[in-house]
Amino acid sequence: MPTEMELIKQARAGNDLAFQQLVQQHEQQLRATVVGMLGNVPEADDVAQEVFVRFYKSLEDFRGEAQLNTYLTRIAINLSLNELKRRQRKNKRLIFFQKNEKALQIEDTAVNPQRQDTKELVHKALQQLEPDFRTIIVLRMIDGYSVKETAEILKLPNGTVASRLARAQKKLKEVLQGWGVV
Amino acid sequence: MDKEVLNLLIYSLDNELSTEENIRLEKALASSEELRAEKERLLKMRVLMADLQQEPNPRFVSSVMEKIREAAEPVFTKVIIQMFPKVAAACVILVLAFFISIYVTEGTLSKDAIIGVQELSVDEALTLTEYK
Repeated sequence: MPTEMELIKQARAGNDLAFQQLVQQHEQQLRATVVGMLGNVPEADDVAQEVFVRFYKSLEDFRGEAQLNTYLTRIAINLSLNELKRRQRKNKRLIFFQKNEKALQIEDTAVNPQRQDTKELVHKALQQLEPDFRTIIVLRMIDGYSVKETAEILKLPNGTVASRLARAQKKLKEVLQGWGVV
Repeated sequence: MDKEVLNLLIYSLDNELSTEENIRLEKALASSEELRAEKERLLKMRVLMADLQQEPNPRFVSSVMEKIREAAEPVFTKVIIQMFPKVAAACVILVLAFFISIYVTEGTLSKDAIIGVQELSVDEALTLTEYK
């Protein structure tokens, strides 16, 4: 079975099957990252697909200094953060035109634990966190990266990641506890 | 609950504690049922988070390849389509500026003013024709 680097070389040489194999290998983890960041929404798959499109375009530039997984995760996080900003701008415009929108949104995110399964609730709880904190929780607790790896992906000092992680966990636990999930 | 110990507990889940911190946390855990319950909740939360993995999507790879093919479409056509509104707006602005400048200098937007013969008499025009 060819190694990841061999597949990358083959993909660079125009072998689409090799590239497809790489996509298959990383699809689940990347989708988990993006869904963690954006929630279970239709745009999540588009963003995850865009990660691989960007990777395909930059195949020539990928030198293998970073693990492919780390490299793709970094792209996924950046694209997800862009998507969140876009969503925020869209919401602002909607709120500007519909003053009652905010009230409706609050009602929409208010959770009725009896009606939703645990996974959905955990996803919703994640959406309650600020993007910076959510990113760290997603990388550490969903993707399973260590604090050091998370810091490398986000290009942040270890201490910053550790303290944000602690604060994010506290907040997440409060939300989940409030909904009776933990 | 002691906030410092709670922070220590949360920190301990992702980082190594010093010996002293470890002893302090262990003692607190042994003596506080509330803290033990808190630890249970935090651990349960981590299990739930780790369970947020996605099932493989059989259409994912083909969708990616489709997007790659779309992205490889001739750049020229895409650029033309993207640029058209900007180029059109720039042309409208230029035309407007042209008319405004005529109106400001000639005080009218008549056909003669536009083609630049506003102050040319018929005799002058004929003389010019003969000169040629």
